[in-house]
Amino acid sequence: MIEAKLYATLRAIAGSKTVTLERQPDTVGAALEELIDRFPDLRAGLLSEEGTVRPFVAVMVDGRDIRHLDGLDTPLEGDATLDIFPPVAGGSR
Amino acid sequence: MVHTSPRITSMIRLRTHDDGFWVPEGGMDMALGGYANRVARVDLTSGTVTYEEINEQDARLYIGARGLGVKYLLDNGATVDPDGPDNMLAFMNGPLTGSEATMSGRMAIVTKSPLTGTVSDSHIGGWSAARMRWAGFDALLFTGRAESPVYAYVEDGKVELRPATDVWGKGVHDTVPHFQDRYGDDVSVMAIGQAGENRVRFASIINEHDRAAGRGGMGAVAGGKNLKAVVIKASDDTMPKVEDRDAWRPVHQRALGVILDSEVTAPKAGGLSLYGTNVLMNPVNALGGIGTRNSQTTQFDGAEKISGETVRETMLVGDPTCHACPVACKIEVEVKDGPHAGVHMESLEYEPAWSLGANCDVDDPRVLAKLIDQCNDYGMDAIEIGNAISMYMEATQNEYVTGGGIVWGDTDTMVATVDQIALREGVGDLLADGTARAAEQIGHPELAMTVKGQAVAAYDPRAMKGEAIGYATSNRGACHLRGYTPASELLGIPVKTDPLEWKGKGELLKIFQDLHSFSDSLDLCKFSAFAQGAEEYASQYSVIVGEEMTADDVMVAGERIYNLERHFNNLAGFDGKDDTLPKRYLEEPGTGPAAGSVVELDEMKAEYYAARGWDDGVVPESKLRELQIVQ
Ligand code: SF4
Repeated sequence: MIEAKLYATLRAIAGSKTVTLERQPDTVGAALEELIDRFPDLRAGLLSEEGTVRPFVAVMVDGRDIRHLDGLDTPLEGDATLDIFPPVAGGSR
Repeated sequence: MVHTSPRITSMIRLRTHDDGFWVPEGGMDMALGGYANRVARVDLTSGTVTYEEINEQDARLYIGARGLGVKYLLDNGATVDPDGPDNMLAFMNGPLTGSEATMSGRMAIVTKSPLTGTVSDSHIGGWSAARMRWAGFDALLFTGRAESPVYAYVEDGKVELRPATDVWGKGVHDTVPHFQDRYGDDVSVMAIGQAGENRVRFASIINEHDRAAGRGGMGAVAGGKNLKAVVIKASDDTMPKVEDRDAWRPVHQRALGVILDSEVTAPKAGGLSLYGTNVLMNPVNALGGIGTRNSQTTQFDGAEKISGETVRETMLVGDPTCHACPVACKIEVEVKDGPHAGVHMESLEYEPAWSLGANCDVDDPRVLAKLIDQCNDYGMDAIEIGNAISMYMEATQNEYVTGGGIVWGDTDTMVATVDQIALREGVGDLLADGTARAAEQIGHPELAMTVKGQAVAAYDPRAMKGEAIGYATSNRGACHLRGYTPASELLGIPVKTDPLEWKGKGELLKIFQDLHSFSDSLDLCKFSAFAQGAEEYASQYSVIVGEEMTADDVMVAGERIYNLERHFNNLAGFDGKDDTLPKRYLEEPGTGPAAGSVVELDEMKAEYYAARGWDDGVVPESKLRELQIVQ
C-alpha cells in the first residue's frame, strides 16, 4: 500500500507524518483526492481553485517532482514513494 | 541608471565632535542618499585612523556592501598575500543597511580569502550592520597588523583602537559579554574566537547573536591582523528615516507586503519562518541531493531525524530575527537531554546540519547543536569544518591515515576534533588548513569536495545541476549562495526547472548571481529574493538613494559587480581551469532519485561562459568596458 509522506505544516493538518492510502490510487491526482477527502483542510494548502497543484508546492514521486512527470496524471506504482511538501526555502550563511 | 530626482533621504543634522570634525547623525552631505558618506581607513600597523567620503561614481557603479567592498579590495591590489598585513579586511554597509527597509540588517565583510586566494565576501546578520550605520559609517577598512591584540571601538562617527590583550585567547561567547559589561547592551560585538587567533583558514567573525560572517576565512584575516573585535555602540535614535514619506510609503508597503504574503517567507506561517533554513533537509533528501558520508551517496537515511521539522518538535525554544525582519527565520534551540544537555544556542541551520550531520553520518540533532555551538564560540565556518571532518572520515575508511582516525558517526571524537582544529592541536592542525589542503597533505586530494579550496554546501551537484555550475564557477570557491538556483529547481522561483537537467542552468545561474550581487550590495538579506525581485530592489534603491533605477538597471549593476569580482580573480591568477568540480561529481553517479546522474561540466561551462561573455573564465577587455569597470 502506498504511503503519502507529509512535511512541514502539512503534518499538523493531517495529524501525522505519513498517511496510508487505502483506496490504492493509481495516479497522483487520485492520491491527493483521497488525502483531501480525509483531511479537507489540506485542500487550501495543496490545490488552487482550479484544482491544479499550487505554485511552490512540491509533490514528488520517487524523488521526482510531478511538474517534470505527468502532473496529476503521474502514475503511482505499488511501491512508489510519495512525498508532499508545502512551500519551503532556505540556505544559510 | 539615470539621475532624475533630487536627493530624498534622512540626511539630517550634523554636529561637531570634540575634535572639531563634523560627524553624521544619519549621514554627511552627498548627492546620493542612503549613505552615511563616511569611511574609516584603519592602519593597524601604525595605529592611525583616517576618514574619507564615499566616491560617488563608485557608489553609483557598485552600490555598496559587497560591490563597493570588492572595489576597495581591487584598489588595494588583487595580488596581495591574503595571509599578510597588506590584505584588506573591509566591513561594508550598503545604502539600505540599517534603514527602515525590510530585511536591511546585513553587512558584507570582504577580503582576499586565505582559504581560496579569491576575493570573498561573507554577510553577517543581527544588528551589527544596522549599528554600524547608526554610528555613522558605510565602511571600516582595516589593513596592516597591530603589534599586539586590539579591538576597534566605534561610536559617533569615530573609530579608536584599544588594547584587547585581556580577551585574547577567549572564545566569542566570553568576548561578547566582556564588551557588553563594559559598554552596555546597545553594542554590537563582531569578534573572532581562538580559531581566528590561530589562523584557522576557515575562521569566521561572529557577533553577539551568534550570526556569522561564516565563509572564506574572514576570522583568519582578522586574527592575522591582531584584530580581536569590532565593537560598535549606537542606538536606533540615529536610524536613518526617509524624508519623503509619500514616496517611501507605497514602495515600503509593496516590499514588505510581498514578504508577508509569500507562502515561503510569511511570518509564523511560511516554511522558512516556522522551521528555519533546515526545512530544506527533507525535500533535498527526497530528490536525492543530500551528500552522505563525504558525498559517497546522495540520500541520507537519518534526514528526518535532523530535519527542521524534528528540531522544531523537540528542541525549539525561540525564533530570533534580525534588524527590520518580520520573517524571523533563526532557530534557537536547547538540548534537553543526553551528554550535551544544557546546550542553548542559535541557530541550527540547514547547511551545518548537513555538513556535520549527513555528511559525517550523524543523525542526532542534539550533537549537531553542540558542534555548531562550538564552531560559533571558536569562530569557525561550520560548513567547511563538516567537510574537513567527513573527508578525514573517508580517509579513515580507506585506511589512508595512521592511528585511529575518525570513524563515521563517532560524535565524541568529532566534538574533540572541533576543539583540536580551533586550537591547532594534533590532527586539528592538519584540518585547520581546510579540506582541500588537508586532503592534499594526506596524499588523496580526490577526497576533498571543494572548489578553489572551499568546501561545497548542502546540495549535491549530481542531483541539482544549477548548483553544479554554481559551485564550479562561484567567485569565492564552492558556494550555494552566489546564485541560489535551488529556488528554481526546488520551489519554482521564478520558474520551475528540472533539477536533473543541465541545459539552461548556466543562463539561469547568471540571472541569480546578478540579482544576488545587487541585493548583497544594498545590503538586504538574500532570503528577500524568495518574495521580492529586481522591481522591489529598484524601487527601494530609487527612493532611498534618490536616483531612479529600473529593474533592468538592477540586473546590469549586479552583472557589473559579478564581473568586477571575476576580474579581481583573473588578476589574482584564476581562469577557466579553476572553474571545476571534484572528480567524484563528474565520474561517480548519485544514488536514489539521482541514480545514474553525473555532472555535465564541460557543456554547462560552455553555456555559462557564453551567457557571461567570458573567454574561458576570463572577463575580456570589451566586457570590462561595456560594464564601465574600466574606461
Ligand atoms: S530572513 Fe532570517 S537571516 Fe534574513 S534577515 Fe530575516 S531573520 Fe535574518
